[in-house]
Amino acid sequence: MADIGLGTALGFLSAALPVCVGAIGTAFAMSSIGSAAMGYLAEKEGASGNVMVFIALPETIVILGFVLSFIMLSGVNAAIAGTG
Amino acid sequence: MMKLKKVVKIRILTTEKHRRDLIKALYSFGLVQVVNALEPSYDKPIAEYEGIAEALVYLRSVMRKYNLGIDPEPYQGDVTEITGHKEDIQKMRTTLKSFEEKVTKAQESYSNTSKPWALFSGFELSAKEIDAFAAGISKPKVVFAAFKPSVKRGDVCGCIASAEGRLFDNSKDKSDAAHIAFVYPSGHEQKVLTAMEGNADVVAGPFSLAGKSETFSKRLDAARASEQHSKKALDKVDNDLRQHLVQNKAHYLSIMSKLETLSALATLPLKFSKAGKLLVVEGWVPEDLLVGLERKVNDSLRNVVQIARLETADMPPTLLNNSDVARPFEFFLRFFSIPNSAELDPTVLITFTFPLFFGMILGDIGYGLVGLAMALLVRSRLKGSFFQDISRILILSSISTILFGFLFAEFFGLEEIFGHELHPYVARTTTAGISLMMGVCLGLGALHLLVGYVLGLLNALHEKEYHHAAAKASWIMLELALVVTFIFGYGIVTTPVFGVPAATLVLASGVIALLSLVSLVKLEGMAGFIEVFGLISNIFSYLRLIALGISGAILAMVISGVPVDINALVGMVTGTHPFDLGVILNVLAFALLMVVGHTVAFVLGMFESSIQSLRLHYVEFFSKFYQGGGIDFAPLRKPVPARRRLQPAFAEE
Repeated sequence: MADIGLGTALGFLSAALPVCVGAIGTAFAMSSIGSAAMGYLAEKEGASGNVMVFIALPETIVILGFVLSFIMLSGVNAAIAGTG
Repeated sequence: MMKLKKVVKIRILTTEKHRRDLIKALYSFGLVQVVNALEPSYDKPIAEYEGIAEALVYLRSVMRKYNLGIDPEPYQGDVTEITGHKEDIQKMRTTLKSFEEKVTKAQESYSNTSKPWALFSGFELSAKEIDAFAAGISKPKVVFAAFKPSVKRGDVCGCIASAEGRLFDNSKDKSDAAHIAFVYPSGHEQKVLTAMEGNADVVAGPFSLAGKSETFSKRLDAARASEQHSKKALDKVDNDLRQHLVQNKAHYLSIMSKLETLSALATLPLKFSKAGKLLVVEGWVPEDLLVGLERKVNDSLRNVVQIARLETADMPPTLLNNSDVARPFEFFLRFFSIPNSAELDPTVLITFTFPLFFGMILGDIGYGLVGLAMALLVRSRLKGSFFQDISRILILSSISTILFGFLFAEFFGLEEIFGHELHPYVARTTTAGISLMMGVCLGLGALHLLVGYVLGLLNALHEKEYHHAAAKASWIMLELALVVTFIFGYGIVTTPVFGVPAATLVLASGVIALLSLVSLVKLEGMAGFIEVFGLISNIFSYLRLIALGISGAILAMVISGVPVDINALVGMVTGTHPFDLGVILNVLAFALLMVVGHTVAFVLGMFESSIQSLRLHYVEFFSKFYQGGGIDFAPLRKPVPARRRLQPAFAEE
């Protein structure tokens, strides 16, 4: 296996962080919204469509995390290529 | 194309004696919704209602008992009176009653045999002891009793000696049919009753235990056999009825459907109001069918009727007006909220964008083919309108998945189909492919949201809300300016457009963006300014199309990438390779992993693609223009899609 060095390893680790932290944050948000939504649905039948909107809202955080991760990963790869 | 069918309010006046003919004519016409007329006194249901309701409740209860569904497809035939269907209903009742009588008889028999069994079985563990005691006394008898509440055991035990018998207590037994079996010699009945008085109540008995055939054990066995026999008989007749219902399910659902229609029609007069001998009926009808309704009602009531179009401020019900291709996608709108009568219906756009997004996420030839096969199977096997609609949605989505599968060159995660190599136009799992697809997704998102703003502008203009329309126009300008700034500023396009250099375009679009922003702040306040970040977030949200696509593709790739030595297996079969159990186990494990792994990946992919495509519509797209909150137009007869229509459209009848 090629020796990638501490800097590169930290670069990859940092690239993984945005999507990882974003996913954890989204999971917490969705769990709270989900339980509240189920309670609301029990009270008001037929509101599933509207409820789904609220449950789906936090997902964007992961997508933004994905974008950041991808940009950082491209940066790390470019740095590796640049240093040969 | 996106406009709802215009619905107008009408008032019908006729005489009381034409009530039945009017109901008949309205039902025959079909596309009319009757609402409560705002008058002081309401009419009564038609006379046959009780009979119809009784038959419907009876049939529903029977079908529900056997879990055979109580939601038949709406009846579409021309049934306006109980006459002609009385025979069907009578036959149904006679047949089911005869089954029910058998069931009731069997239940009674079971009840009669299960009681003694419950009594004797409670003392099953003491049977030998009882027999031994009974053998030592003259003409033994047994009586079963239950302790009175809060009785003291000492009191009961004190009675035993006086009755010269023996008490067997099963209080700890789970059976609570009897707590005591009191065995005593014949002729001591009075003593037994006296002994029990105040302590216990007789549940059953006395039963003789004299003679070899009447021992407690023999009686226990007889009670068990009798209970089992009657249980078997009950199960058989119950099963006969179930079989009959299952075999004739379609027939009974059809009767139920007819009865439901009849019931609705019989109670329709509850919405009519009466003024002396005059009937007043109010309702909604599609504007283009008003003349047809007038003709139909006049013909049926021999012109003793007057129909007037009412000008009203009431919100009309929503009547969606989509082609056969788009109609299944109305399901997504109904799931969210149908449009109100003043706005545009986006179903036709969803018909295009939902399969597009679905295919972009799943994008695999193999999964697309499996989805298509599933959709065709559902379409051919399940006849309900819900399944027909879902299958049509799935067919379009699967075709899109297959097309994107060719674009990404993915077949169950591999770049080959049974040895034939595929060449990707866009390799979405590589850095270059991801970058390209991210750009495509952002562009698609910007376009989708732009269409949303344009629809919002059209809705506002239609409702003559010019302030709102100006705000929507500002959003359109802002979004276009941001896109141009991004494209030319980021260097995606560097060549001049119509001779205008890129730098000038960036400057011009920047100025337009600034002016649009000022306009927005003026029209919508600071909320408008803050919402700009929402717009950018919304556009970025479309990146999920590629993000989820990559995860699905890699999952499929990992599953298909499990190594297997097929050549060794082929060699073993042909004799060129020695027998090796390891190779066989490897191939079996591989096959299992393929099936289970791809099934999981497929189900996950289908679920994610549907949910995320819907989310992009509900959260991002709809937030730009859609209000919803419409009330569905509820005609007396629902229109049948042309492809499923077995008879002429009822409005033309």
